[in-house]
Amino acid sequence: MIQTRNLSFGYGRQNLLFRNMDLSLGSGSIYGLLGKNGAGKSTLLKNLAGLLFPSSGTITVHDLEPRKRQVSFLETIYFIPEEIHAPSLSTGRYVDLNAPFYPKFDETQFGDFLEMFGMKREGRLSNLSLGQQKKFLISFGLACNTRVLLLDEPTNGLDIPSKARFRQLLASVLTEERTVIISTHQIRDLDKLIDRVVIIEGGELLLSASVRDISGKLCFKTVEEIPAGTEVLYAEKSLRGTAIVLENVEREDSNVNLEQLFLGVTENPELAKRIFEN
Amino acid sequence: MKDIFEFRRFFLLLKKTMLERPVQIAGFTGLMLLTSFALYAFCYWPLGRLDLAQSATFLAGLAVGGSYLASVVFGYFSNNARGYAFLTLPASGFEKWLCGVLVTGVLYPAVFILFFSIMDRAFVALYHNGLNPTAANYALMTRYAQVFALTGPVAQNVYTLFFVFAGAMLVGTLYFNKVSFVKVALILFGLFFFLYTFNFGIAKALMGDIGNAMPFQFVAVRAGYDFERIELPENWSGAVEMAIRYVFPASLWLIALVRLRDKEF
Repeated sequence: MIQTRNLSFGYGRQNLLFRNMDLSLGSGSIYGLLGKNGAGKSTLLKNLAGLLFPSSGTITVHDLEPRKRQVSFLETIYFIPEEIHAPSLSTGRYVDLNAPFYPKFDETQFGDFLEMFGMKREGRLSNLSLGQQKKFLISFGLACNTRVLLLDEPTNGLDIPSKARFRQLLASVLTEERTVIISTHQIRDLDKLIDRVVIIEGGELLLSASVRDISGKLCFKTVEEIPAGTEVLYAEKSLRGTAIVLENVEREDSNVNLEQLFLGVTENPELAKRIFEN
Repeated sequence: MKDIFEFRRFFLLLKKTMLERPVQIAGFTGLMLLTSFALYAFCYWPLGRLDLAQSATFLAGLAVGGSYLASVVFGYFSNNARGYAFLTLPASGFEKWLCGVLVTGVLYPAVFILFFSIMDRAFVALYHNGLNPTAANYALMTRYAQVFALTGPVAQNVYTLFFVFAGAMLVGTLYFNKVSFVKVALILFGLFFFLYTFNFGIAKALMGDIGNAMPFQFVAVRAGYDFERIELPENWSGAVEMAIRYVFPASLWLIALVRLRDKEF
């Protein structure tokens, strides 16, 4: 369980990026951390990884405080940042030097993951393309079998087939004990993967809900015209009519469109809050 | 205890540190040994100054080389991804610090001093072999060329400089993420220049005609046609020496530990 209580953080004392944020993230889920540029997605991940410390409030990850960076905490998490570190080592040497720090690292699994990405364990890591380096490190990070996996824009730099394999791979490693948090602004890449959504904006948590809850509370559909008197969370004209997101008063089944959800929640935070509080 | 130190994990960390950056650590050490040899040889042959060769090489190799290496061991923060990987690696802050201390404060000095001793003995033997045993000044010239005393006053001053500069570099690297060696060197020289000038100014204002004033050590005051040194009283100088030689460097190396544990990136 990951919990933040009254979390405030800012790069300067005057300019807080988060203010008194309360967040609870359970195990066995893949969380999509969504937000506009500069909303603080990466900063939140860095707070959870113990790279940055809260200005006030607390964070606990499986009852451990990230800011203390205890070994038992660091063995619990694996953070794959947007920019990755690929030292000038052979791929085999990289594994030899890094894997022993992770008690649950599984060599066979690692080989399988690389195979899924169509990669072989050969050559120098620094000579691989950025996409291949990323696939290598994602495979390594997953094979470490840490209870918490933090991924910052993991699909940046991956080609289309690799994005699909990444989704399969991530879905295959999710267990009841594991929490995966993916920060991304490329929602479409991970649309079908995420089962819980966290949206932050302007220093506040706008939404934290499961996709099932969202589809219960909201209805996503395309209409020719917006019915008069209907309060819509989001509307967007398209060739086939107007795509709208509104409160699911009539309990209709619809597929959650994360992009429309994100735009609706960030443009109409008050209405979203009202709908989700009901 | 497992969260603070575990021998196996520390060994793995040391291995990773040495093998992941062979150019920066082993390569730089090799380069420093070569440079030391070149400097010694230059002072010995063209200049013919064995004493200069010994002190200049010992100073450059240990204090300058060691300080630069100190700026490299924690130099992960010039690159975001490298910094994240270092801080999130499952090893304790103490182990990471100890690893830096071992590379900078033990392994490098040990390798350098061993190399220096062998080189110095070889050059001194070469010098002695070049002397004419039948010459009148043979005994005098033999006494002039002695192996550098690793526990002598010059060596002790170099050790102090090494521990102060290397400690400052360890701390500085954890404050300045980029070009830390240059920034810390500028701060150290700026601080020394300020201290020296300030001390000189105060001494001149109080004592009039002075030749030199070294902070915490002496003031050279004109006495007739010459200058006489006024030194600190013995009980004070002992305390000051203790502070400069041990307390100040030890504080810097310990501050590096605290800073590493609190480092945000």
